[in-house]
Amino acid sequence: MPSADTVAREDLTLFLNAAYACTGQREFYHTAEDQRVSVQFLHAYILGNYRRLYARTLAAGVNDFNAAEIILNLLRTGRQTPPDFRAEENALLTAALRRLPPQRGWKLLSRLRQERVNNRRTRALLRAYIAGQRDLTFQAVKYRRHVRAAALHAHLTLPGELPAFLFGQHSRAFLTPLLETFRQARYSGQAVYDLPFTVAQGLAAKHGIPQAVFLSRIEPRLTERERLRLQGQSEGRVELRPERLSLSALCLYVLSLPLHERQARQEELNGWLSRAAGALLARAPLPLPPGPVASLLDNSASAAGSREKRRRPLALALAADALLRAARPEGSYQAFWTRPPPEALLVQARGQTNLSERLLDALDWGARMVLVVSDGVENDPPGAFHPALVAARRLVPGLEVVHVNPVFDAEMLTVRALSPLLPAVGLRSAEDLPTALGFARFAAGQASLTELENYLAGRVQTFLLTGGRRAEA
Amino acid sequence: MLRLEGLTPAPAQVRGAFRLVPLLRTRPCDDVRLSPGVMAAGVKVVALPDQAHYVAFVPHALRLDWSSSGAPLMALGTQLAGPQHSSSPQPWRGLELVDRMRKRESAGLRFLPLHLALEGLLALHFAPPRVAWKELSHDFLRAGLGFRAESGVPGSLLPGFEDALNTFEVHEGQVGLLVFTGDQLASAFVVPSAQDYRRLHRTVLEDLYGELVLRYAVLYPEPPPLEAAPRFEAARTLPELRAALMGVRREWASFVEGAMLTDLLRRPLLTEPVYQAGPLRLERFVTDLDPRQINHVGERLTRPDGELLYLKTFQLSAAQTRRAYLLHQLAGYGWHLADAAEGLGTTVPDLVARIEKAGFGYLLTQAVRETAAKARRLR
Repeated sequence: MPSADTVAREDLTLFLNAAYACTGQREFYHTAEDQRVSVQFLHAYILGNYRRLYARTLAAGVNDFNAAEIILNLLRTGRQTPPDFRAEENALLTAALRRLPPQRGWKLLSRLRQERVNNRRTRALLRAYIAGQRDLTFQAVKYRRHVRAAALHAHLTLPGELPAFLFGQHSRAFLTPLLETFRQARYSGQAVYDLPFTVAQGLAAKHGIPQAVFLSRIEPRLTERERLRLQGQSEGRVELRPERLSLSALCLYVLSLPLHERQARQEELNGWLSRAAGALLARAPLPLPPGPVASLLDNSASAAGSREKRRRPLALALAADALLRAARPEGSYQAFWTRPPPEALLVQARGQTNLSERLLDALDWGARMVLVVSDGVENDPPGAFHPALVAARRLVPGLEVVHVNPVFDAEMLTVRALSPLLPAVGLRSAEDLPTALGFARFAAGQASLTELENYLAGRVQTFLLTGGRRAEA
Repeated sequence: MLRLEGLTPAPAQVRGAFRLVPLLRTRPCDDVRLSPGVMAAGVKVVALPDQAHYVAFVPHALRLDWSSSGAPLMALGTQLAGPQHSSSPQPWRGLELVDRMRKRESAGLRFLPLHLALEGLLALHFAPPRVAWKELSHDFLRAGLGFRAESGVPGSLLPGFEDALNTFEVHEGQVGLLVFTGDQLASAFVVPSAQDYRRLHRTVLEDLYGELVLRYAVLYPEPPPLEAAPRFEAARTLPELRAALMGVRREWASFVEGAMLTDLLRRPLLTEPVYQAGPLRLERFVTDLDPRQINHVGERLTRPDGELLYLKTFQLSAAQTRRAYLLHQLAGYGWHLADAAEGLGTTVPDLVARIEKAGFGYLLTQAVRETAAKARRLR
């Protein structure tokens, strides 16, 4: 029978893996509903059994969806916090909430109101969040409904003209310029262009402004994500600034282009990718051993993702390829796609998953470390990876294999592993790859529970010190 | 005998109750093409050459193009096909009266998948009596077999089938698919080229399946794992390991042909040619109708050298097998009941009971049926 420590370690790695990969959205093999039910069960289970560790996972680089769930769950059950842990939990909550992107942060506050989670700590957290906003007026315009909900929920008196803006009739002119613009935009088509894009969009529709005119005039106000979103429909009116995009977003964009365009713009796109990869590496280097490194990248049909996460697994594979290419000197890195494209940029999600064959190719090439990026569903032939890995470890001494998996398997409650000897590590975006590689040894079961606890405690230190900014491994 | 000539099974992909085995073509085929034909789905009345009609739900049609000289019908990336008859509702009008199920169009042949075979099941095993035996009813002698119906289950009703097809990872050179439920072959589908297959992959969902398929899909939601157990322990070097992996693939292929397809391959077939498309033969077939085994009807297109270009099968239910078998035997004995009973190793009263049970009682006169019933009672 496994000891309590082993069980705790396994539970926790299971949960962390889920919290790295799952976003509650539809995947290739499972519906959104499956995903949601499954991940909520995990949250409830870990919260009930390991409250301290559960709170500390906030510092371990879990994705935003799960961070929001954890915050909500902790606030919901505040009464169960042990007294000696209260200070740390509060600090973690504050930092984690501040780290969330604004749309997720505000939505979370709204949810607190919907679910009637209201206690002293929740109100204090809300106050701190609102006080910490750099430009509350802007946020109030952009997330009006959520900000109003939050203010009501915490009985807050907001500064300046915000109460009149959020709760009033807008019959008199505002002194604050942005609020006044918003008021005017209800009547004038001109003022629309001075508002944030998402707000302006609705008003433009109300004024009947044609899409083409609207896009070309709102362009300077667009955020980078909005630019990315509008690329396809803008017919070149919106310009993309690739240097400001994260590597994952860039890869998703590149893969959304048709093949002939990728071919024609090869040089430009490759330049973007390697620059983004370089920038990411400068912030957080990959913990890689010396020696030849190979990557085993899955571009089978299932890498196409789902309607909600279109091509995300494939984009992660492409991002991992770009990162490793930038991290390793020429000749010490080689990529092995399951269905090799003529050029990494031209990769497509097609065909079956023949990972075992590519593993042998990588070993033939002389790899000592292999990074597998795959959803872990292997079907050509099924179940061959495990024995191939066992044999390969025997034949190639010192072989190190790490499997990162972008897809949460709702049925198995974890990311699917290719072999029982090689537990997978969940991964949502390429920016978390350094964290994932750091975490891989816990997933592999080489470390004890104490080590994992120390690792988490260490992460908490850095997390709180950096004030919740993205902490890297 | 049916053989998967020119095809290699690849490892199966399992999802829900369905085990889907991809078939890969050994030698690419570029002079025959099969494409989704132009025919709106719906209930159609089909006229057979012998004045008979049948009404059927027609999910879609296939269009066969072939080059008589053997020259490729397509260049890489483009397709040389006849003009598209996309919208014009040409050969039938009114209540969608389809004059024939297979119709030679200007360039190719249009036919309805599985209806060649089902038409065969309904009509092929029935040869009308040449002698007007007094046992046979007047209606039978005057009007023939009359109304007959066979039913199947549309693929979209099979629980989990759509899901299994959607998440199936189509292989590079895949030209066919074997569908298993409860480890019984539910249907086989093969087309000439991989490009055609990509376009036709989802039509498998619209096809017809035997009722046993539905039962197995519900009863066995998870087929037992059937993994190609590799023996990699013996490998001493990397090339040996690779050889072992290739061995697993080969073993899988022979396992599928040897053990999983026993009720389709290596069995005597009753075939009937349907169409001669250039050098190619389009035929329908039914396995030997052995009531102890699961039988399949199907249609296939073969080259003169035996390469299988097109195949579609339908799993018969036990009742369907019994009906077809009975009609086949009766026709074989010229509808002479005493001969047939002797040939089948039974007695006339029992044979009459069997005919009645199969739903063909109306073919015999009332007097014969009553006499037989009386004889059975007296025993």
